[in-house]
Amino acid sequence: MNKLLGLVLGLTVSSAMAEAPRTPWGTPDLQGIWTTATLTPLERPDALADKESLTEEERAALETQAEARWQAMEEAPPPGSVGGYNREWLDPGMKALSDGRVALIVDPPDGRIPWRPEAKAASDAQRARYGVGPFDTYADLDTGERCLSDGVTMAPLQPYNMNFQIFQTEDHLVINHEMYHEYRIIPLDGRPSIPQAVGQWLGDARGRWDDDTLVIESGGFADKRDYYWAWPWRAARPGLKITERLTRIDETTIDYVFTVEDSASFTQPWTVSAPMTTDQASRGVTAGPLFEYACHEGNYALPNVLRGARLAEELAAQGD
Amino acid sequence: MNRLILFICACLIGNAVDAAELPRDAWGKPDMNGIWQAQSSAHLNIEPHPAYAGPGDKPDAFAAARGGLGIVKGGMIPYQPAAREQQRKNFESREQLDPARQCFMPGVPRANYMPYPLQVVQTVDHVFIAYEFAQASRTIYLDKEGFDAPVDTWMGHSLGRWEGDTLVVDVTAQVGDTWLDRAGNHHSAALVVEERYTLETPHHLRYEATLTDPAVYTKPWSVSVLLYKNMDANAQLLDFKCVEFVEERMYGHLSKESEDE
Repeated sequence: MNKLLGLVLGLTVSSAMAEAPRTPWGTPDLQGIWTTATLTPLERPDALADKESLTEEERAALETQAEARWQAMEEAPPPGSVGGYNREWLDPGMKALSDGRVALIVDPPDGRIPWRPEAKAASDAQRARYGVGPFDTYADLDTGERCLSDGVTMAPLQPYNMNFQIFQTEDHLVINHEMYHEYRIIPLDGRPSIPQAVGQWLGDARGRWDDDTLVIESGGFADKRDYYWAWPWRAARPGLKITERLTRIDETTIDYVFTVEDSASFTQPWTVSAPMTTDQASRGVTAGPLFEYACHEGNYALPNVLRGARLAEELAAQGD
Repeated sequence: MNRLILFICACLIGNAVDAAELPRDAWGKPDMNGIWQAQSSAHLNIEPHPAYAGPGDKPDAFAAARGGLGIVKGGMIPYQPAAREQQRKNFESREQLDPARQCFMPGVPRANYMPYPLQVVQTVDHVFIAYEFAQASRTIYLDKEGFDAPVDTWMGHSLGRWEGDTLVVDVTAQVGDTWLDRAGNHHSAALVVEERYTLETPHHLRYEATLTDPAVYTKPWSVSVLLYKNMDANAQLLDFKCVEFVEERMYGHLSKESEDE
């Protein structure tokens, strides 16, 4: 099954390669403003456990449901709630992938993260805490809420800012992530990795060309397991290895595949295919250049969450 | 004899190399790709200044500022009187007020002469500058003449063009919240910066910036500072995600008091 998928992708790649742009020095040109935003989820939903792919009608129904869900957020929040982001802020992918896949994870075939049981339990516990608390200190907020990071990869993990700009020279490739204005500068010149003691939030990345595919291997992650990651699979930690493969198929498409390895967390490596397009409108997100996401500079939410928690404690104490 | 050597050395350093000897990219432009950093004390104060103490209640040697000849052409910034007074107040309260101390993106031109490296990634239609400090960055568009800033930002909106071998960048739409150095030199949201990047040798990048801000200064003025290329074979920018270093300072007072207290 996986071999078949690889074969199909391979055929698509070779037949279309002639149309893909190239740099003056002959490598494929990956530059441009890209998005991975989509309605297709990372993991296969339980309800679709037995389904291989969605028909056009089923995809259209998903998109209608999503539109209704986002529209509902335009309504005033119920009494006692401050509400959250609305569509003015959010910019989610509104289209399911046209190949009808039910999940972005293509391996293992069940489309689920292959957690080790104990790691799954820990992850579930972290997920359940999100937005609930306790909020004793700023460290109880998720790394994203602290404007630090959601972790590496260009998977469409958030309902906004899923845009990436790639710049390329002969010996470096830059991926500028709109989210948290994180950039990755990836040497292509075969230099050695930096010492593990210099652990980096997004890992230490090295790139190389495998025919017309750029392979980016990231290891040497910082150990940030003490921080609260609402989605623990992305937590920066030693032992994590991420291998990304970028193949430009044509003017508007990069075949983007990445594999996540961490034997302490997962029973096997797992692989995500999240096609990238320059046609942002085709995914239902705002078209145009990246904006500066000055998250920390305008992080009013974090101190206000803590103020709210302290006030709640005060009120509770008065009630005693 | 020694004087002669000194004289020759001065000539080599003082004059840019012949334009034909500069490294060039695939499109024939001077190749500014690489990691650069200023060696001046301009990050402390862009105006001429002696060494001075502080800030803080019990300043130590590391908190003290080195002296510096300044990088402002003509010596001092032509502030309007009220704006000079504001700078003095900023200086007195710099430990509390300097936005960069809270890990806010430093803005332009300050980002270019902070004591942290920056990396230039130069392509035919963009120049991307990555700053190690706060993971700030800028995309300088070389192919979008007339592209207006969609919104004001901390690092500004940068449209560039080549004038001969000099990269000229117009920086607009910066928020008024950033400073120009640690001494409280400041600007308003009306600031417009024209930057000029000129490769003087393969390893020396002249950075000049002209600041125009009628709300704060009596006339446009300029800075000029040299950036030096990091020639270590495996040099790379590293994380300085400074948010995690300032959270206790910014939010610690909102934490729940521990049970033991």
